[in-house]
Amino acid sequence: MGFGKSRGMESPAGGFPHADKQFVDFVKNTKKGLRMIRPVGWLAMGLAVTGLAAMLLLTGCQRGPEKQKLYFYTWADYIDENTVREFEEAYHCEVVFDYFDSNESMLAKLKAENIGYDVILPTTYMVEIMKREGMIRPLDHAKIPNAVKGIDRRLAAKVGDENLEYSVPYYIGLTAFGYNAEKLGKAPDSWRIYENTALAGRMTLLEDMRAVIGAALITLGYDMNSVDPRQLEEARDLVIRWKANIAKFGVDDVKQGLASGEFFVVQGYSGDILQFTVEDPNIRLAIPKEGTILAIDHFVIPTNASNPELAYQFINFMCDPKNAGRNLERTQYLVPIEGVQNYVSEAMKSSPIFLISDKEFERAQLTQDLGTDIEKFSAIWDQIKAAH
Amino acid sequence: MKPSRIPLLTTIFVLLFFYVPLLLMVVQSFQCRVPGMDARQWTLKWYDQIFHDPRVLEVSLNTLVIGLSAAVLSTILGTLAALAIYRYRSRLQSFHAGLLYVPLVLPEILMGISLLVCFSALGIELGRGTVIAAHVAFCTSYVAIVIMTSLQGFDYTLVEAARDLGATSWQTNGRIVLPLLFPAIAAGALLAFTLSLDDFIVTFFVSGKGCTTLPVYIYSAIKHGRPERMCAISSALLGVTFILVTVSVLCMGNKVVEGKG
Repeated sequence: MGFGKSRGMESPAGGFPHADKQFVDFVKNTKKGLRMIRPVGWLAMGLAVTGLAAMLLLTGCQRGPEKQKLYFYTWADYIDENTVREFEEAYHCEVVFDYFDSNESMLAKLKAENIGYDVILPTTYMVEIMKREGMIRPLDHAKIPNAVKGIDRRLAAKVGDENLEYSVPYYIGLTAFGYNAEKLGKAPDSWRIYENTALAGRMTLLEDMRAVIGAALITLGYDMNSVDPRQLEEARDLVIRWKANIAKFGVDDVKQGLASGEFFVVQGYSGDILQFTVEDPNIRLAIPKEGTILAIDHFVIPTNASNPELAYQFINFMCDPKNAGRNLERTQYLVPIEGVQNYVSEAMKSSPIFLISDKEFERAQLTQDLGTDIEKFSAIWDQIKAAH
Repeated sequence: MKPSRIPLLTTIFVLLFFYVPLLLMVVQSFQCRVPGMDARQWTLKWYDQIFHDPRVLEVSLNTLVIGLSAAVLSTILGTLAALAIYRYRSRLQSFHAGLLYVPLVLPEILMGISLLVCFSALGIELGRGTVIAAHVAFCTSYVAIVIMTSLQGFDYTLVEAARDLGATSWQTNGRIVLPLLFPAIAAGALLAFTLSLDDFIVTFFVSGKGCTTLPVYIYSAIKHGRPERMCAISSALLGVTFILVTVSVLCMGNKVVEGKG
């Protein structure tokens, strides 16, 4: 192994800098060449072995034989940890979390690769798509009695799955106003507040085309999922009028702006707004009288789940009113389970989400998958963004 | 002639533009609202929360394991690649050098999707292994380029001297080449580690069950998480990255001084 005199680099003077010649020599004289390349070969082999060992070791630890595992694909920071721990203890298993940042990227990934998650938590319109694509399985109701018994059927009907055929609607949020009571005096009650020039520069809309154009369509008395060109044009003109009075379109920094008193009225997701109301009594939530937009995340079990039994147990466990109450408290999103209000703190009970009237719920609309018609929304949104 | 002030002002503006947002994020991570008042107070509660959150700890550990593995593997591969390109100036090696630059210019999304398709076609189960492999794929280039830069100022006469005095190629490599290149190798390894630590797009596509990394977690938490918590996690990540890059630059700095001396 070349430990005597290395002849691979026979003429030191012709070493690295004149490598061209050496490469020719290397090709001409294989024997010499082999000797020269040998250390590199050993290193490469050692490397390959380490690499392989590392991979086996690391991928190996995914399937430990001791405890069964539940693979849960969800949004980060969106469940009560103690409840998860209790589930793990009760069913002697481990819940393994993975996270996606949008429904679309989740779909893209699962379409490309059969990963085998057991439970996923997508939004309504994505549930429709996954159902159509055959990616989720019909639910066996015998295995989720808590959901069958407890889920608010009116709500299930609203999401087009009255019989909980494919999904269990779980977290409910709605697009609402967050407002600063001290600065505003009276609660905003209509989307028309965006036409109030006195509040110019103190209001914001969401950076979310479905939510903003949807709000305009609702204000005009249309369906938020309308793709009628004339209605969309009307909505566009209305949003452009609103745009003249708002400070910006945004999501995250807007919440900060509301908290700091910079903005008086923001369009936001209820859970986000409510997180701030807990800390600051001046920040409150209000629901526009014309109606608003519901956003619901559903539990679904993929067709190729690796442990569907445990998945059913998990969903059933989370639909127990006590556990649902803790998740509600943690995320500030309403969970539509009967009796959930008996298990939340006193402070939570007075939260506006429990005060949403049936009428307001009836009026709320749901974002639906528009298929290729979504391009009509994008076109209108571009025109809104470009308008002055 | 009075020197123009424009370059100075530009520099100041650019630095402010780069660093003020980061600074604001760090400041926010140490603040919370005084309940019921229009004021903020200093607090460590966000850090307390994230350091006690089992999910955050889980993904942090995962990120660390992946980062270390990717750094070690890509450093070995990158060093070998740089040495090969330096030593054998053949057409094959210039092609090799060209290939090394590809991951630097390739859009990340393209790399992520192509790797996903490739793993999927080969029937490889997605997991930590595939994330590490993907990270090695782009980190190797950066490591090799750092080391190639260092090799440009490499004093080859030292190797010749060792040879003349009868050292074997193992001895020469082990006692002369590697120690001389060590600062560059260390810098490359740290760079690889930070790149792996920060990567979102490629990781999202090639990760399988139970191997979410911190950046993927942060992206997801934007939807429902508290902004201050995100600031705290990002600041912690920023701190680690900042320390590593500083050490990496110090390593390279020493090398430059040695090279001149």
